[in-house]
Amino acid sequence: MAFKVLENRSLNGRDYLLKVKVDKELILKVKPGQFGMVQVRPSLQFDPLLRRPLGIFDLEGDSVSFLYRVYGRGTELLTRLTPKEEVEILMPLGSSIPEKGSRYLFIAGGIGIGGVFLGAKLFKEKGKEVLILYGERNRESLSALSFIEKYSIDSVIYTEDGSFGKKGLITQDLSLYKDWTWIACGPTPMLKAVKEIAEELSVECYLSLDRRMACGVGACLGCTVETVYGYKRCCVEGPIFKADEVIL
Amino acid sequence: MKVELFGVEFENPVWTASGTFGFGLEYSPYVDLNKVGAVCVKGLSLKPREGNPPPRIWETPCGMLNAIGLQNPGVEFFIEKIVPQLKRYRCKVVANIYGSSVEEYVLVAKELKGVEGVDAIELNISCPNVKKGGLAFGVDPKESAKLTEKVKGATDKPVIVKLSPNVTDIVEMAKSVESAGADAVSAINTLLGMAIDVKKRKPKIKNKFGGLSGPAIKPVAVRMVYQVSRAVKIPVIGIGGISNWEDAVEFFLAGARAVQVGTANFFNPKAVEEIVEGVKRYMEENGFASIEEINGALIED
Repeated sequence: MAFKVLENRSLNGRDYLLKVKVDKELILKVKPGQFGMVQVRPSLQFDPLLRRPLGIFDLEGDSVSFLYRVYGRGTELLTRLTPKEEVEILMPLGSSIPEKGSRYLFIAGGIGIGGVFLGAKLFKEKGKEVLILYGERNRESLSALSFIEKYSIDSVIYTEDGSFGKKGLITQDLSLYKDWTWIACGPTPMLKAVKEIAEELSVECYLSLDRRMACGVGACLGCTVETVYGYKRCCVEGPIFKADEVIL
Repeated sequence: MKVELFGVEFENPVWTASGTFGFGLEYSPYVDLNKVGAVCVKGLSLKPREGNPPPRIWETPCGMLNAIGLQNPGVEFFIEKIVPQLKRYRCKVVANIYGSSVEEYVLVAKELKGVEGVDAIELNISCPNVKKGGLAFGVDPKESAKLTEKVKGATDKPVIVKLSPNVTDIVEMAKSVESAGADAVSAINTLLGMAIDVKKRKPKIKNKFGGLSGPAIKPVAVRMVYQVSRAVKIPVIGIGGISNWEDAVEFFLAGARAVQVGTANFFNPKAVEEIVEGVKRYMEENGFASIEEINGALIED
């Protein structure tokens, strides 16, 4: 489906916010943790061929937004979209963050904030206790900080160089949050560490995973994730997986 | 746009290619399956298969590599759980089958014998991503003829043989399976390819090699369909990078009686519906009453 672009702006030169106009019905369908398959190629070209899976970052009125980092040619092309243009997106797709807990710790490494922020925002609105741990290399990279502040979500910020918040890694204080449900999204080494600590402490933990995808709807079987139950599709059984079920 | 091939009537000549459309049901929220001529389902084996370890896909210029490794829930699951759901739609169902030996192909075909709601069998002798079977049968004309004959003897359904482009002479392969009793051939499966990560100095795909698909392979496919359709009497079904109606018409002009849309489903789920509409318009505007008329309309000086 084609959506009108409302906004596509750089937050810090590397991370961008893409906001599109949607109808109310679609907003009601979106659950936190889900994603969209976003077309990045110009409409009359076949290169780059495939859509890119982007986590649904925020819902506001009649808009859906995505927070994305420029990694390659696809995301670079996406930055060239301008307001009033249309963009093809298939959404919402994939599994969502289970809502049965009452205290949620969202662990976001880098651009991983794009996959968990909506959960934090919506769960806070529902009256759950919510805390975001948000880690980055340095102050300039913290592109989502203003959104966390805008919705007054409790957070602890970590930077590797100490230029903002606490100095060090996001995983260093996790043992303080034994009684919380953990939701983590970020680079694989971080997810591995979170999974390990969660297993040691017997914490209920979910990971939001990211894989290269072709279809996004479970047909191509390209985005395989290894789990204790065999191969699963990141786009349908995921992107939210129980941490103790995945093999990273 | 109804077409009749090997005694089966299809709503239209635009189908979905095996491995690119799941069992059709995955796409049912986005695509009207009644508007799809036929769904060629994901390759089925006798027993469920886990497929290859990840990473399995890599995007390439105007195309992609895949090495899924025929992950599927097995033919029994397909018959019991999938076929009843597909029966709700007007689209025809083509069961793409795979075996690691002649015996296994025959057993899968036997399972499908008499199954209502399965309209034809497509013999996958051209999968480049599995170690045993698959392509092994697809590169040797004698082996593929033997296999075709055995499967024909084991089933009451029309048999389409899906040909590999990874051969010296695809025409020889097509003639060989035709003489063994194939009701049609489909061409082409993916081209064997490879991509390497220069930073990690490792293949991009765990399986090392993958099958190349998408618009990048279309000219190879058009050429092969042209050659094969002039060499055999059985219908040729064109596959390879078809992404819009112009591509489909190109294959019809080359000699294809029907086409299968593959990788385009991934980047445009509406591709089949758009192609059906586009071909209809083209036929009206150019006074073609049937696909066969387009087949004979190529001007060659």
